Amino acid sequence: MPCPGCGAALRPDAAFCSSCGRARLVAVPAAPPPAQGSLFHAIWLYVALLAVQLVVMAYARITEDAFVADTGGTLLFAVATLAFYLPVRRHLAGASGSFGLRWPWALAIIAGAVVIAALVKAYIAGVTSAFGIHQAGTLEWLGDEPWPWTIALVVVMPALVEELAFRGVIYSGLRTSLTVGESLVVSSFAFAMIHLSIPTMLTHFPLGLYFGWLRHRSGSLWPGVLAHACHNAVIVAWAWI
Amino acid sequence: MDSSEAAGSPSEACPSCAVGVTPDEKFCSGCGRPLVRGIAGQLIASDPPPGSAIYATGPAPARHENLAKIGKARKWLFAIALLTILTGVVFFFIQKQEVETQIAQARVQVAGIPPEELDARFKAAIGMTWQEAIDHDRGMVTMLLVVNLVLAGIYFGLWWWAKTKPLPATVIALILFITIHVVNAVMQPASLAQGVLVKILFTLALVRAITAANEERKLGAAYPA
Repeated sequence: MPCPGCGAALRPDAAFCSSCGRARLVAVPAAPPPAQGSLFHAIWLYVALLAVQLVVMAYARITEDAFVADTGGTLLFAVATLAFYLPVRRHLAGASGSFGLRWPWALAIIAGAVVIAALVKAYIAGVTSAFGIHQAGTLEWLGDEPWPWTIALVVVMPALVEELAFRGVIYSGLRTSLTVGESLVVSSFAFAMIHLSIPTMLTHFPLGLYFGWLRHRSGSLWPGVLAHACHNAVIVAWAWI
Repeated sequence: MDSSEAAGSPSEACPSCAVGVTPDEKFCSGCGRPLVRGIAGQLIASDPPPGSAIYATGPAPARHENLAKIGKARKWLFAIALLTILTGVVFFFIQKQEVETQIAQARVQVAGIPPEELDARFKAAIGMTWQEAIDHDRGMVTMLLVVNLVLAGIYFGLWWWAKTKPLPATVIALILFITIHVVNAVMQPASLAQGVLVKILFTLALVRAITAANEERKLGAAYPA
């Protein structure tokens, strides 16, 4: 790489040009960067997921078929996530290999999910009654479909795909430029925004922090997947009762 | 010694910082001091050239550019926060009036229908009673105002945070802004054209600031102040 000041060749590790003495302003990594994603890899995945959400929303508004929109949306969401995950999969291999925490933690996660889901429910009920509005149920089709399908679509798939997207690709991409705390805040914010609702940001942002903290603490995606699936399962069970 | 070999591999150490230097180099690539040689050709310790200390520790031209881009994005964030309050309040009063007009019109239309039958009809059509439907419509208008004020609060918070932590703050601002505006565009296609120039310029300013702040972070890691 030539010096921007005098054009002489710079040593790879030089802080100053050895021909003209100018400080080198652009740090060049010593080795070619491993495929680990980047800040913009994370931002582009968010943009792709946002596009999926908008297509789903537009389809649901036009056809009023929430079930087909949710099914198709889940699949598109998974496809977009995989498209961004595959190029960096080697970097994330460690995060998807083991559970990361000792198994007694799993019980704490499952118990915590019930408490968290109850808080989320109470908050939504509080907001809707405070404004006198009737919440348009996003799970209206729940009762109409066979239950294994509902479990797959509301419990299993979102837990797997959203964790891979937000705590996997996006969190790891952000970590190349941001500290742990900042990456947790930004990825949780993105997680809250992708649900396309400002009022539920107050519930999804802390949820994202919790799942992200599990990811950071364990070094694995699986505790977050378990917590996410339990949380969604409690919400579904609530709707069924 | 073979001259072609000497050009590549360092054969001596800089007397000031001990980084390896080659005979053809005029400045040390580790500390930037000029490589001064004595009569016998030995390296002797020297002071850094005038200005190089500033170069090594203070903001260099490229960093000024980065800081300017971040500063610009911060001004935008402040302006967008004010704009969000303004539009939120204006829309609130416009929509409030619209909703009240609609309610008044609906009242005229249902004037002759007994309340019980009216509630039954409403329940069948939209799942709410007459009074619940009115409360719902009014509640949505208030809710929108609260949402806009919360949004403005978040923009102000990001403006403040960007002062010390420009990178995470601008990334969050970008995520927030594009999400809000593309959702609006899908829900109300007519809103797409509203202030389209402001939307594009703000998005561009944020992307530039993110790139600049990202570069700043990498430089900061390579050259701690």
